Amino acid sequence: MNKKSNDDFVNIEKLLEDLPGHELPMGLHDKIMRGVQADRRKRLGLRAIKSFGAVAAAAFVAVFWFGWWHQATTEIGESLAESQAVSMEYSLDDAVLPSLSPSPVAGGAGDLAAMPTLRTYDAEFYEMPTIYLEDFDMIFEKIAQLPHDAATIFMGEEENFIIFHINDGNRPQIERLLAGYGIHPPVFGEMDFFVDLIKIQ
Amino acid sequence: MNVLEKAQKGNMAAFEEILTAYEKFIYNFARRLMGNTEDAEDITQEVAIKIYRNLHNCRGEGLLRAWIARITHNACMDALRRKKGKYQDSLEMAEELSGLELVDDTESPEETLVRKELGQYLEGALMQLPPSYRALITLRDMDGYSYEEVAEILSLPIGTVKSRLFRGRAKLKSILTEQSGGDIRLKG
Repeated sequence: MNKKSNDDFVNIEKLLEDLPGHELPMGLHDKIMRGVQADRRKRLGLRAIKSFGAVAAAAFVAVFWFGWWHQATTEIGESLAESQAVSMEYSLDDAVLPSLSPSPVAGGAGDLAAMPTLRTYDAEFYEMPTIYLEDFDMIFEKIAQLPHDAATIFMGEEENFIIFHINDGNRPQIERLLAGYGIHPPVFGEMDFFVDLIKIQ
Repeated sequence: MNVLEKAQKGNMAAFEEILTAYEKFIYNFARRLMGNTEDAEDITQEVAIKIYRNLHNCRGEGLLRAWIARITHNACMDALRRKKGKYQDSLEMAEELSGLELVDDTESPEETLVRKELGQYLEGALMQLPPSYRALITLRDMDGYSYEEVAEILSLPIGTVKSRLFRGRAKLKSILTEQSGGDIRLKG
């Protein structure tokens, strides 16, 4: 093998240092990014699937509770309800939402004093705060690190909205976390809150 | 907010910026540990996804370089364990790794040829070292990581890093001298 004429000895450390790296194969960067994006979508999809069971259960409870609540309020407190201007005009779809409240109104005329909390389901409540998908990703990760069942996150079928159902024990932590992302949940007693998810991919 | 913080908040553009900055290192480190381009490409993709998933665990931009190196090293070691007994022989690896562009404008064509030959010998010799030595030499001598960083990445005490590095270099010199039939004489 040939050698440099003015230097019969080779410094291996220098040789290693000077050894150039290989260029990234053509197209690998794009392939990697596609892989990452696919992984991200898959994880979001898994979350949606995980939440499906919870949503189904919630819907069942909601319909049951809504039926009971409607009957109770109709029979017992119609006039009282009107005087309190409580909005009770829900579609069946809307009925899912009240189910997320952990404090269903118990029967009996006296308990109708609790009814003002239902004001939170009025139309104005649907002016939801906005969250970016990227932020949601981080929020989800952070909530997942909290003790088990800190919050249940329901994701809309088309990932266009999410509903947080926060367990009371973790509410302060989660509210602080959300406030960090500029999200201030409209909290009314023990009510859940709703967040509109905007996709910006 | 720096690029890491943005990426940690889920900003894909920031993540891509980080990836662009480190993908060549990841690929080269993986290629030197795995010994072939296909595995290196697979490892690079795997590492990118691991980085994306675990970015929130990185505690600062200054630690990103070592953190990524550690993920890459672990991914390679896992892959090597899975492939145990299926190693390509070193000659095949050396042939594959010899496609290097060793170009220096200040060199004469003859000098470039000599350097290219040396590079080929060196890559071949490197592949004959155990993966743990390859990782040490690649990180310290080729990529310029500090002893402390190498120790952190490989989860070894600094003393062990230094002693293994010494032994690795000595072994590399011995292989290189033997491979070249004594044509290459090494300092030290």
